This record gives sequence, structure tokens and C-alpha cells, in this order.
Amino acid sequence: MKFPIRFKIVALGLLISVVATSVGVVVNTLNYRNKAVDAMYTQIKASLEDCRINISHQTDELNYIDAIKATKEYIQTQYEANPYDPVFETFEEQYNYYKAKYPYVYGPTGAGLSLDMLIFQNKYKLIISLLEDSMITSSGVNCYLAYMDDARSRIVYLGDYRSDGRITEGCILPGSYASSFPSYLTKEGDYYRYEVPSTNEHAFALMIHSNVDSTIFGYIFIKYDFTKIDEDVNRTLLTTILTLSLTMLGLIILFAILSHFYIVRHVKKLNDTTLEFSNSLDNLEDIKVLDPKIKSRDEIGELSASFVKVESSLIKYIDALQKETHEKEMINAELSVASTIQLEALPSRSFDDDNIGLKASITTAKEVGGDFYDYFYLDDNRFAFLIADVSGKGVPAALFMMKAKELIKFELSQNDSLEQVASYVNEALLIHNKEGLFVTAFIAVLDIKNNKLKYVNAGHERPFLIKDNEVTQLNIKNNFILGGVNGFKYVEEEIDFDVDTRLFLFTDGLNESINSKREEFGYQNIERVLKENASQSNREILRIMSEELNKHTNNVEGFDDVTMMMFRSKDPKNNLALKYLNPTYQAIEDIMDKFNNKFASLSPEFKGELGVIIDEIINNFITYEKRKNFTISVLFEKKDDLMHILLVNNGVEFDPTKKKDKYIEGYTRDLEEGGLGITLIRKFTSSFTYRREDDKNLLYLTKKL
Amino acid sequence: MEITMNHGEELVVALVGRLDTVTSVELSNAMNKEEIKEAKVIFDFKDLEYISSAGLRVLLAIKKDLDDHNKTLEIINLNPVVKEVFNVTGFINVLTVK
Repeated sequence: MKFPIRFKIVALGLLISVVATSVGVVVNTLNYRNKAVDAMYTQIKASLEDCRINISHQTDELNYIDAIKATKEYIQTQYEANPYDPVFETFEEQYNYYKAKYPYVYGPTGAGLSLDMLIFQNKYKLIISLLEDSMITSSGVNCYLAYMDDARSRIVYLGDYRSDGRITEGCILPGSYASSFPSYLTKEGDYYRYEVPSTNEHAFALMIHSNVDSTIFGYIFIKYDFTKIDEDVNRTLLTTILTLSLTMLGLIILFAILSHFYIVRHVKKLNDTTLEFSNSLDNLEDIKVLDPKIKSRDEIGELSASFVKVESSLIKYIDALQKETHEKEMINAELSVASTIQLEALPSRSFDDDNIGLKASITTAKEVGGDFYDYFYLDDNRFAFLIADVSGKGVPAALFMMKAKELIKFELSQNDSLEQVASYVNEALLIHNKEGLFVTAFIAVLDIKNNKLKYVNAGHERPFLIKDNEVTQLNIKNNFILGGVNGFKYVEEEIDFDVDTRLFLFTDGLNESINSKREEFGYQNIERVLKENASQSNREILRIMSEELNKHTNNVEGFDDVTMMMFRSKDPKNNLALKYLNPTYQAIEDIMDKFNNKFASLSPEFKGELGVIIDEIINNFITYEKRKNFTISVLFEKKDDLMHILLVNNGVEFDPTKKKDKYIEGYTRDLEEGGLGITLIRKFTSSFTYRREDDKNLLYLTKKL
Repeated sequence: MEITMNHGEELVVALVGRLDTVTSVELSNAMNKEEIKEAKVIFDFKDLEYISSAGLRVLLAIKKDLDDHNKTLEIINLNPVVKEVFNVTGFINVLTVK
């Protein structure tokens, strides 16, 4: 929910105005009322003064004192004789009671007037006329005469200006009394004042005393009605509230307008600019400084200027960051290309023909590494293979590796002697090598005809030899590294290397790989894995070795490249290796022709069943693969009483072993004959397994001879 | 693969070699081209080395075609491999084998 500043200001203004109006009204009202009352008092006091002078004047002339004195004496006498009146139920009852108690005042009952009574009544009339006169002079609402019964704290009434034979309900009855009256009285100069409880009346009492001896005979009470004052006050109150409210409202509106002009509209502009700027961040190419253009010379103006500063800083920062990111991306992309070039410079990870079986693996610790391997035929009978490790890592090592690899290959093609090869490579690598990089290498050449392997080891890890399920690490001369010292004399060695002998070559990344306890994988583990799997294929041994290595390091990231190679000399009588690039179905005929040619002595049944197997599998391979550079390789090896068959393609992942067998129960018109191939393969093989490895489909089958 | 057609009371088709992915197409083409007047066609598998599922597919197609023309198909002289293929797949239940 949004609360715009304007609303907040108006709400706050309203609150303030309500409070201010209330306080103003209360203060003003009290003030006004006090003033009004004061004014009234002044007026009353003047009236009372007139009245008092009048009374005083009249008492001189007409002997009012005597009349008041006589009246007081008469009523006091009757009152003192019986000072406690009963409780009256009606006015009538009260009137009759007093008439009986004060016959002089209330007039004769039954019998005629006595002289005393006549004289008294004349005097009493004087008093009434005095009261009436005073009433008129003073502009009061009521006027009566009373005296104080100090002994009982009572005020005893002597007469009302209305009581001259006209006593009616509402009059003060002469002779009646009121309790506790004096407690309300406040002496103010020559008179007393009191506010009649729970009315708006104020009473003023003028003392009547003797001019001779100041004896107080009684008091004339004059009442005034203050209702009019309250009405005035209320009217004033209303006017005050209206005036204040209107003023406040005006101020609020003014304030809201001013706040909009000076604050809100700027803030909105700033906000709009901020939003626009942040939206423009989505497209970093179009980003530019946006100025809210707020010119006010106050904090808002400063904020606007700061915002522009922040924007330009941000743009600078983004530019720098983009540049940096771009450079990093470039470097990474280039390194990735370098890595691809480097790995592509290496020959295929596997090589097979009827004489040689070779499988290599390379795992680089960095984007580009320093390990490499190579292999190639020098001529029909001589096959060279090597593994090497360049000192250092990263781009320098990679560049040095390319140089070393080409040098070794070149020198191998030029020299029979491996001693010479090593020497020449050594000399060549020492030229222009300020970095002091060097290579360790194991270089070997197999003489296929004579089953001899000669090799030179230039400071490299000694390979393991596997023969007749026996595993030994070659005990050979280590020599010195390539690119180490000028003129080093390398020594080559030669061993018998019969068919089915194997050599496991590796770089120190394998044996020196450590786990979290910093324990190396070591030669013992290499030897153990080789022994345990001596009967497995090259491919299997490398796979298991990698698994064991991972188990050992348990995902501790390697510091060094790990390169391995299994080399095997095969008996061409028992081995057939075939390879087809983008084959047609005709490959099936070719495979079977070559197989039947090589293994001519096998029974027609075996050949027939194998033909079915090959037809089913190759048909399946080719039918479902449309990619370029689709390669199928087929290896047959006759070993003991089994024919081992490995079929490899680089197509999309497809595992035929998951398919179910099918058997046709009988002929129907809509009979479909698909899916029978897998049934036949299973029937005609001893084992049939699938594996996805290095983005290749591997089908491995065995068939009893 | 060699395919020989001997017309007579019955059409005898002799196959020499393998009946696989490649050669089954040859057989299919040969049969489609051949004008068959005989009511019965006999495949002589005496010199057939083996048959794969592709071959079975063609044989089934030929049978369906002959059925449509009220002709019968019979296969004779199966070697052990071919016989095993017929048995394993259940084609022995589909084709008439003597």
C-alpha cells in the first residue's frame, strides 16, 4: 500500500489542527468567560452601589431601619419560640403553617386586625417596597431580606419583594429558613457573593446596618442570572472553532501545495530517473548517465547531484567489469582451443591392428597440460610408441610439449638408434630454452617380425611388463631427462617381446596422486591392479586403473596430468582388427569375408552363427546412425576356447542388450518380424555385454569355439 | 550370393552363400522380377551358409506375396545354422520346412 507524502502531510496537519483548535478553544473560552463574568460583576457592583445608596438614603427619610428592625424582632421571636419546622408536603401546608406561626406577616386569620398588627403591617409594606425598589435599581432577578441565625448556621428569610399579600408558590416564604447558607458566602467589600449551587444564579448580599452603631439587622439578597453569559460564551466558542478550523485547513492546503512544489515533485522525478536508469542496466550497451535535472538549492538538489555521481561511478565500474570479464572469457576460450589443439595433436586413444593393441588415456589437471604420448609405424615391421611428461604446467609446458613431440617423431623417422634419437632430441631441446623446461620420456620400438622391443628411458617412470599373468616393473637404465645437459650419452636396451606380452606405461601423475592423507597411489597399487586384472583387455585395465585411482584420491583434485598407456603385441594368427569410416551395409560382407579368410579352419556352423551375429549388429549400427565420421571398429581375437568380439562405434548411446527376446508363435497375415535380431545374438553367443565409454558404444561378445 | 531359378512343375529357387542384410535385397529384387507361373515355390537352402533376421523378413514378404496369388512356399535342405535360426525365432511356425 502506498502512502504519498502529500497524504502524510495532510494527515499530520489535520492532527495538529485538531489539537491546536481544542487547546485554543479551551483557553479562549475560559478567558472569555472570566472576562464576561468580571464585566458583569463590575456592572452588578455599580448597581448594588446605587442600591445601597438608595437604601441608605431612604432609611434616613422613612425610617426603614425601624421597619426592618421591627420585622426582624417579630419573626425572630416567633422563630426562636419554635425554631424547628416540620417537613412540608405541599406549598399549601407550608403556607398555612407559616400563616399560623407569623400572623403579623401573613395577615389576619378570622378576627379583625389588632392595632399592633396594623402598625407592623405598615412597616412590613415599607420593607417590601424597599426590596421592590432595590430589585428595580439593581436589575436582578430576585430580591429578598434575611438575617443570620449564627447559632444554627441558618439564614432566616424575612421577606421577598413579591410577598406583599401576593405570596404564591415560588416566593420565598417569610419565616422559612435555609441551612448551611453562610458557607457559600464570600465577603467582597460591603457585600457578600455566592454562586447558587447547580444553577446559573449568582447572589449578592448587602448588609443592612444601623447608621448609628453599625448593628447588622440583616441582608438584602439580590440574585442575578448568568445564563446569558454562558450563551455568549458558547457563541464565542463556535466562532472560535470555525475560525481556527478554517485557518488550519487553509494552512494545511498551503503546506501540501508547498511540499508538493518543493519536495514531492522532485522526489518523484528522482524516483522516475532511478527506475529508468535501473531498467537501462538490462542493456549494458545503451547505458548512460541520466540527470533528474532538479535545480533546487536544498537537500533534494544535493541528492540529485549525488545520484548523477553514483550513476557515472556505476557506469565506469560496469565498463571496467565488462572489459575484465571479456578478457577473461577470451583467455578461457583461447585456453580451451589450445587444449583441444593439444589433445588433437595426440593420436587416437586406441589403436588396433592384427599385430598391435594399444589403448591410452590422458587426464589433464589444467586446461592445457604437459603430458603426451605418441605411436606410429616406422615401417611395416617396426612400431614406435612413447610416453612423455614435460616439466611445468600450463601454456609454456603445452608449447614445449608440441615441440618435443614433433622432434621425437622426426628423429625416430630418421634414426634406427634410439640412443641417437634421444641425443638429438636432447640437444635440440636445449636450444632456445631459457625457461629451462625439460621432458622425461620412455620411447620404445617393437620389431614385429623378431618379437624384440628396444627402448630408451630418459628419466621417465619405469613401465610394467605383463607376461603370462606375471607383472614386473622393468628394471632398466634411467638415463637423464631430455633437455637436461648437453652431450649426455643415452643408453638403449632391448628385450624379447613375444606375442601377448603387454607393457603398461604411465606418467608420475599416476603413482604420485595423493589422497586427503597425502598418501601416494604408488607403484604397489599399480602393480596390484595390473596383477588382479592381468587377463583383462587393455581397455578394461585402463578403466579399472582409473577407477582405483579415483577411489584412492576420493575426489581430491589432481595437481598433475595422469597419462597411461597399455601396449600389447598380438598374435596375428589369432587376431583380426577391422575399421570402417562411414560404412555401408557392404561392410558386413567385408567383415565376414575377412573373418572366414583368417579363421578358415573354424566349422561352417561357427562361421554361420557368427555371420548372423555380425549381420544383426552391424545392420543395427548402420541403420540407426546418420552422423558424419561415423566409425565402426571390429576386433576378433581367438583365445583359449573362445572367440572374443569387440564392436565399437562412435554413435549415439544405444544399448541393445536391454531389448527383450521375441518368438513368433505362428503365421498371421499382419505378422511383423522385427526384433528377432537380438534373440539370435543371444542364442549364438556365450556372453553379450554393453558399455558406454569415451562417447562410444562398446559391445563385447564371446562365442565358444 | 548366387540365386538360381529352375522353372518346371514347381519353381525351385536355389540360394548359394549368405542371406543377410545385403543379399536379402538381391533376393527380394530377383523374386519381384521373376514371372512365376507355378503354383508352388521351393527354396533350396542346400548351399545357404546362414540366414539373418533381414533374410527372414524377405522370406516373410515373399510368403505373403505368394499367399496373395494362391501359391505355396516350401523350404528344403536347411543346414543346422539355418534350422537353428528358424527354431529360435519361431519362423519354423511360419514357413513350411521340409
